[in-house]
Amino acid sequence: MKTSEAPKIESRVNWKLKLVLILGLIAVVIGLLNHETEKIFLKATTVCLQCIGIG
Amino acid sequence: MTKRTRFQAVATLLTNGYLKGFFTGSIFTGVSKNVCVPTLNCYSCPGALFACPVGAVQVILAGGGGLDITATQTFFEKVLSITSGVPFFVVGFLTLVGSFVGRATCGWICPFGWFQDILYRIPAPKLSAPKKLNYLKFVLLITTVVLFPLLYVNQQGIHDPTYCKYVCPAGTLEGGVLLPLMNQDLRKSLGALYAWKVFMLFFFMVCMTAFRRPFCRWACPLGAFLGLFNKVSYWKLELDSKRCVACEACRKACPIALDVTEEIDGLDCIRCLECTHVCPKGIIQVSNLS
Repeated sequence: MKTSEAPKIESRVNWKLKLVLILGLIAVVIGLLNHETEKIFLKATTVCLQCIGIG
Repeated sequence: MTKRTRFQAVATLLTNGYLKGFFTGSIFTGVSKNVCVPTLNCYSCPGALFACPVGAVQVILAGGGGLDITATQTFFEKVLSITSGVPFFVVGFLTLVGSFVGRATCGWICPFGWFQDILYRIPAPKLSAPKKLNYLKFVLLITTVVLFPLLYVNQQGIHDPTYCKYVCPAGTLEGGVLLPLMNQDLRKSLGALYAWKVFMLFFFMVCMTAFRRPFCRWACPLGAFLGLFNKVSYWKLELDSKRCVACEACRKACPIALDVTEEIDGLDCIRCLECTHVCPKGIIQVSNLS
């Protein structure tokens, strides 16, 4: 009984991992198409006054 | 110096390698700041070569966008317009990192994590805290990183990156100390908010000498998010509980104060592998590590 359950658990875990990977990839592609990195770049290349406590 | 400490030092140097910034009080403006590191590394640190994912998420949410739909747009363009205010790139990137290594970036390459490891070595009374405090980081993630930047507008009509502004001690340490010291205009602007941020930094620094990685456990929204993948990630820790002799060596060595036999690969495990080194039976191992 135990030996037959082990592969099932393993395949379920792999299925979850694959799903998460696919969702992650899709999200990255949508973000790139939305030019999200440009918004990040604009913020990251000017001193963030909130971050350093000026506001 | 352990292998992990060397790794942390090299990673800190590689992600904060703009040394000129430390001498001129400026920040790096190169192309690598288009992308984030999977660690809490303030982009206003003079040495930072990459963007901070927690700051980036707040900026995209606070930047609004979305619902800019016109009749002439195709269906695909409409979908992109609706989603332009959602931080897909950062969340997707962190999802990919988390699905491979879980929270290992906290244990191996986060500069602020390393900072905590160093401060804990200071001789001071060593204390333990209630486990319920560990859920605070999820509250901070949902409120200060997502809801407030998205919904709250300040008196100037701006959406604030609330976590960066009121909580993040990493930003104060990495950017808030050197930049005002080297820039007179910034120094003149310091006020009550700066005092609050410095208080937060000192509070956590005192805690770091007494508690194991208190910031990672209680207040890091990035750790909270990456920890969600610990159960499904490709690399995982496995314990052969039948051979465990309950010596508690793993619990004593864990830099995050986990009860390793109960919480292996739990939300807070930072995959530092300290438990695998101290286990006298060698029954804690990393799966899929060839």
